[in-house]
Amino acid sequence: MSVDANTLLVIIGMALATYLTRIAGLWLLQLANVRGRARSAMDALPPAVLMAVIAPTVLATGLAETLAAAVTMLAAFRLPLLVAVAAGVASVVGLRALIG
Amino acid sequence: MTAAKQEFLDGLRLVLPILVAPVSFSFITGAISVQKGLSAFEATLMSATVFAGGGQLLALEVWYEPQAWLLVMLAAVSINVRFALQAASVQRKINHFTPVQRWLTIATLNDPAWGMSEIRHLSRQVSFWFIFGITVPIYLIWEFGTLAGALLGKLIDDPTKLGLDFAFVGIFIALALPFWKRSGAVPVALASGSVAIAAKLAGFSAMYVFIGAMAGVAMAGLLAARRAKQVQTP
Repeated sequence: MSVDANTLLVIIGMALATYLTRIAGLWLLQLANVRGRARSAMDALPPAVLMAVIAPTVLATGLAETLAAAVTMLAAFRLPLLVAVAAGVASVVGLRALIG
Repeated sequence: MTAAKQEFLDGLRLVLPILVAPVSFSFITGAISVQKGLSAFEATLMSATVFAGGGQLLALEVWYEPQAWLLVMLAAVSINVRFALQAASVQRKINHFTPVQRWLTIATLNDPAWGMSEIRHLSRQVSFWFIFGITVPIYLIWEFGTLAGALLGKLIDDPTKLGLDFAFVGIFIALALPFWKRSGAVPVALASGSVAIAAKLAGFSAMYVFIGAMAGVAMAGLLAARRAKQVQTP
């Protein structure tokens, strides 16, 4: 078991920094009394974050990713989560092999 | 069966099908850590204390010996800024938790726990044990997967061949479906999606999620302001 002192410090720094980004979300809201317009904005956070993760991979990576995303979405309407994700992963493998 | 146990099992049942994603991501993270010169113990320690796949992978991208520690920390933070938004959003739904439960939830916040809590909140109250049923297996897999990847990582050469890199986005696509039915979801999605794409193409390879999400939130604020105006001026 080897531990380098410098590496250990960097890992602790990363852990602290990541912890602070999580905790910062609590402070954000305690500063602002959330009502009215700000409340509508906060309610939009879940779809906004989800879309910001999805869109660049789906629309700006390649045709294989775009088509596989469509397969995943259609599958997710009817099938359990695991099946939908598996269908997406399987189709991305196949499509990458077919169209690069 | 107690209510807490039932809630824990509910969370566990929801998370089980998607565990393939943390298994593969933690394995890749462990394998890359060793390539970058970390020991298996250091790699596992990083996963146990940071517990954020995207941030760890990006930090390892800029990891050289000796480490530019500020750059590494910035890399980790920039991709994890979304946690601040997710924590801000979920904390209003967990106000009924005890202070320790609330702190534990936020300190270990992860994408599946956040997403599934938001979806559950659409129909019922979210409990601490529900979230814990999601987070505990993910946390354990994250450590053991990193260790396994650090020890056995040389066995797989290219994870994209297995399509595992798509599993993460696939889960998000499926998680996003229940939100489309809500009013105002389409303009918010258009704003956050298009700005996220523009930010990524402009070179914000880590911050694009945060930038896109803020655009979506701003759009929701604008729409609410316009609605308020229409009510005032009949």
